[in-house]
Amino acid sequence: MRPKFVVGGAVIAAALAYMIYAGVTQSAVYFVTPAELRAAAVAGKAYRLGGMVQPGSLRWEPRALDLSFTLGDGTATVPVRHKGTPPDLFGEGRGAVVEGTWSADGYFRASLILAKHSEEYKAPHGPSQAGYKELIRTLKGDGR
Amino acid sequence: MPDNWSFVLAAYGLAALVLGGYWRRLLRRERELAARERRRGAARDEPRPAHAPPGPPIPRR
Amino acid sequence: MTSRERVLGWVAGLGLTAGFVMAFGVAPREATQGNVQRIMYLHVPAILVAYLAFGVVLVASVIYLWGRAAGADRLAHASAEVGVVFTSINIATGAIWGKPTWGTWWTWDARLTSVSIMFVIYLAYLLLRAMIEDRERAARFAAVLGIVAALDIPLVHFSVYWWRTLHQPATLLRPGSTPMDPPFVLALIVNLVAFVLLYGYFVAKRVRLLRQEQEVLA
Repeated sequence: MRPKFVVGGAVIAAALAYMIYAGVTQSAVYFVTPAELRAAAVAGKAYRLGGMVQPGSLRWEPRALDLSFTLGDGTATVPVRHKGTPPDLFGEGRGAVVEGTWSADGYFRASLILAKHSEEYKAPHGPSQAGYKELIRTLKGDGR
Repeated sequence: MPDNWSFVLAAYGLAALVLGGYWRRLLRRERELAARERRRGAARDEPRPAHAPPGPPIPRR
Repeated sequence: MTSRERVLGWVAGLGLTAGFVMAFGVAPREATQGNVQRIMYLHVPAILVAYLAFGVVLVASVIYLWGRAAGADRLAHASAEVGVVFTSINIATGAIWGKPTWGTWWTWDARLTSVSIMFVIYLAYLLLRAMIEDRERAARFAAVLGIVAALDIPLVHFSVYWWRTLHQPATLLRPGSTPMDPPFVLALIVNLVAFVLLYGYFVAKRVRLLRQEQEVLA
């Protein structure tokens, strides 16, 4: 058998094994809900927590990059703190998944904020703007 | 809401590169096969010219 | 090049042009995501065509095992190859779309994990075909793998319903009506048709090349 097939087969087998491992350990329960975290929170343990950013809970300090908000699932809420800039789709009343650890001081210390978006796609209200005009404007440098 | 046009351009550019790359691969294979077919046809159909110097026989397949 | 192939190629090219015009000239800017949402017109048709391609592999593999028709085997081979190309476009555009919107290029949620498993399984399928010298043996093994691998197609599609994911649920192929405004749907469908035509062009060409390769080697 030619060596390139041996190497190719080994790479594919390793990739498949890693993906199945990631699937079992991470994808099966991708995130825990605030209620599940509240029921059995271990300080210092790493979790992925998912929920809705509670309206009115978001505090954002752009200069210090301090972000704090509350994630809820309808039955329980968890306060979250993070240092850094959130992704574009992050906002109150929307879904979010955060990675980090549960702190002994009673809040979730997030190292990564992920925004979960809905499958809804809506046209903007008011006159719709065709994309290519905007694209050309941006390429010319006077956009954004 | 920022528009992230650079990401849109990257996505469309990458897709064009992948599809174009695959297309070119198919066209190259097509040319190779056509060339091989021609060589085969030439070896089979054309008799050795009368004025050709004696030499090794033209390989046939 | 046969004339049918050439016509298909031109129609696919026209379709892609129309799809591009729909994606950038007709479809409006999405209200929450902004213009970055236009990546969808590549991302979604790419995976739907990949489903189609791997579905064709499944059917052609069954037909091959049934009657040992060499044509069915060539169709399965070509369709798997083109399916891998479209899956790679889906994964790459998804990563590019994910970075600004979700905040990450990649995460191991069930949708992303299952689609990457699908990608690697069909790569293994192509590797298997390439490494077995005896053509009939290769065809037989590949047909079995082509049938087993199809199990991953529903896994990919329904992963967003069966598990908790970061990825949002399906927009087009879903129970009930689509939560998408009509201009987006129209742009998506035009691009989907264009991608299906392109798939047809690639597969027709690849099948013919495989036949010629086999004739040359025979």
